[in-house]
Amino acid sequence: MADQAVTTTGRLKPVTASRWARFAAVMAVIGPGIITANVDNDAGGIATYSQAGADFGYSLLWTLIPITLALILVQEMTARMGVVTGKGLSDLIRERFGVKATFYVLLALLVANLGNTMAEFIGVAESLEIFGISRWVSVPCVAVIVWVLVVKGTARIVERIFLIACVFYVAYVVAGFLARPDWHEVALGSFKPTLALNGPALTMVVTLVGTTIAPWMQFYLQSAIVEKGVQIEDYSLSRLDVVVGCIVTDVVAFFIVLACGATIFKAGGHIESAKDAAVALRPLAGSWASALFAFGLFNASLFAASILPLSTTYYVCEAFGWESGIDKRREEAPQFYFLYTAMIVVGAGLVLIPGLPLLKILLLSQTANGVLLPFILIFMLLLAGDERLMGRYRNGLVLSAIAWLTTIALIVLTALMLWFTLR
Amino acid sequence: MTGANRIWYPRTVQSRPPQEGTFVFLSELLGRPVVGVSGVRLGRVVDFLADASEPAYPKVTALRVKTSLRAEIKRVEWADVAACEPRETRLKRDGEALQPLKLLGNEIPLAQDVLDRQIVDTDDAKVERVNDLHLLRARGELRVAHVDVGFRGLVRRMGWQSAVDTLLKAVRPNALYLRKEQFVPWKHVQPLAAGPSKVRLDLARRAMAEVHPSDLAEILEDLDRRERAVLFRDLPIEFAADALEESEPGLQRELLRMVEPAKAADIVEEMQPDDAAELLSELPKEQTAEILAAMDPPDARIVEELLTYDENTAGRMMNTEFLRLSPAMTAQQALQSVRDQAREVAQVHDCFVVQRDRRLLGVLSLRDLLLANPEVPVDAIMHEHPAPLDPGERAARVAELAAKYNLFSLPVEREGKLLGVVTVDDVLEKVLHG
Repeated sequence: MADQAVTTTGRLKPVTASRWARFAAVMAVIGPGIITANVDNDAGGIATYSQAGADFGYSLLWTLIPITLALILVQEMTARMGVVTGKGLSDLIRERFGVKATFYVLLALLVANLGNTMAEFIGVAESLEIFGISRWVSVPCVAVIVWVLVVKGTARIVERIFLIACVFYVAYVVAGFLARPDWHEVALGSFKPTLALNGPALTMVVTLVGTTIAPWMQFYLQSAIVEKGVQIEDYSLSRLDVVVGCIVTDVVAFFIVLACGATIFKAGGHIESAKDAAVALRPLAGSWASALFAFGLFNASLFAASILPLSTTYYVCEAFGWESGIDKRREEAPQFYFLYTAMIVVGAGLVLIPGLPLLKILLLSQTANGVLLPFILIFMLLLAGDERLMGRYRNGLVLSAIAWLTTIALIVLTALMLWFTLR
Repeated sequence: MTGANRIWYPRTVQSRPPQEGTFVFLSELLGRPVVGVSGVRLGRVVDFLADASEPAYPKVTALRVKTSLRAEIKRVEWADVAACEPRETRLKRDGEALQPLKLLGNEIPLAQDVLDRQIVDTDDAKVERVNDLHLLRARGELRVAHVDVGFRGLVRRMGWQSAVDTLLKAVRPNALYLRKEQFVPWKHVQPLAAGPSKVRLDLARRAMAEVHPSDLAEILEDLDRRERAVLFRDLPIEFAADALEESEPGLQRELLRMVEPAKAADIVEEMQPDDAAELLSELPKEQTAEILAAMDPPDARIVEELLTYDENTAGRMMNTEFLRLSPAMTAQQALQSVRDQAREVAQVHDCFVVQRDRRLLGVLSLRDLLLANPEVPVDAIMHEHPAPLDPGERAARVAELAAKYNLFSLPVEREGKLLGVVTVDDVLEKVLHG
């Protein structure tokens, strides 16, 4: 009987496409890690990396290596929790730490992400202004595009578009090469740790860490993995997705630092934003490098602006038990649609208000990120080490120790960042 | 609170609860002090265990208390509780009432497994998150009455209830928020946290019987994976099969992977053969083989037969269970036969008159049978089917034929032998989603 069954079913599906089947299996798991890590290189991230290159040349390149390792450590834990529990991080926090903790965490997340969303719309406005498009046109258009893409599109199409957006980050790698760096100096800066013990250099390092490991990423990655329905058998693929994502992200970051280091730093210039960097690159590395840089900024801003409002809305609704999901009708999930639309309207709208202290608001969101990160990391460590929840996939002793040490280091660095920025 | 306002209960009447038939929220009792008979403070209440085998208003059977001394969690039987109030819980004994932690087979820890967790509201067929539990104090007992899934519950948990109420009463005294509680009666609550399985199985059997299979499929989709597994494993075979038929392919694959192959086989056997074939064709090859091997050989053979036809064809969609009549029967005998067969057949709209060698002679509807003279033989009232199908016929063509001739079901033949029957509901699904 068993034999018969095997032969019958074997006949059913001709074995023409085993390679495709394997590819499909990989695609069924790959995505969340790469997308999350790339969204991390958003408008704020690009500004930070540009400034690191412009002000310190290649001398801080080496910090990207430990930053990548820490990023991998944190993201792997998040991915594992998503695969094992099949729940989002906000759900887990609600079930383990109760309503009050959840409320304050999500409130801080909402504020931080609203600030981040604004930063993305500022990125959209500035990058398109380089190409001569007014922000009064670009910001409303992009806001509508983002809203429609997510509300009218299906999850699968949206993810495809996001994966394609990841490819455009290659613009920065090309820009890095166009800047003609001295590769010997680059190698030296990448592998020989040096750090001037002064305020500006320390602030820069701390800011680099702070931009790279953000609270929202943990929520987004875990939800994305749950949404994909990744099973524990496929976890090794999922981990690969996360590791590759982290490495790719920091390679992009590396080339941004490189491009600015080879040009603006050498010429002794100074920049305040990612737009400054794109403009400054034109006379130094040619108009192609400048255009690529601006295009990369637009791509990154658009990408992150599509993800941040939606994911924030998801966590909030899930934690409070409100109906959520783009497959629900508006009457079924009123809180979901209200919050999502409000995030975009407020995020894009504030950018257009003349005379609003945008820089202050962005700083505030950065502060919210920083204040939130320690709590999120501690919650995550407690959850990932919980045997009842994670079973044999909980953090082992060694991993636990490394994770706690990293977390403490991150908390100290974040505290330093807050101190430096608020001083 | 001043000393004059405080209510002192004389020690002698401690066994009587202070108030009769009042409601209290779980969140008002959790974390409150536990005091022994001598007034010594023993610890804080961290959980209530309820007897989940009671369908309507499960009784609280014990408390979990975190001791003040060593921060251990202990069990206190409800029989040892003198009064359980928001201010404090008083016991009838002192430290000796604190027993080692244990959980009986019928008990469900409310704070641990219900509060803040997802439940299924089987009345509204919705997945909800529990913000609070509404408990009834009566005759010295504490019983679970409702779960609170509303916004008020959230506000109460945040400790803002009185502030928000006062504010809202001043601004909008008629606000819906003030008038409406969103409670789900416990008898409609299906808890999902992994607890004692016996209790959950009984609950699932009783509660889920009210839920329509399509709603059940939607509930399964809305749940987190862990809860989904708990609920699906608990479902009686027939419900699981119904829900599975209504689910999306991705979810079907995941659900079947959650149960043992033997149970998966039972579930598939419960389904209509065409739906079973449809389902199995979506699964990975090894999983299909495993399930087929665990099925009853005759059932497995039928499904395998269907699986040999291509997707989106009449052969794949057809049902092998349909109403068969023999030409010599009278209308009366035919009706009796329909009655006998109906248990196994999903659609009883059309009857197919076949010879012993499975050759299709004609069709007639149940309506024809009911209206016919009881003594008339079947072959006198049957007519030829206008559009018999080849097993390879595409779904779109089948839909066209059904529409053209206003057919409810279409026979599938090969070399004049009747193989099965395609009904319009199958075609509709294929044409819409295929």
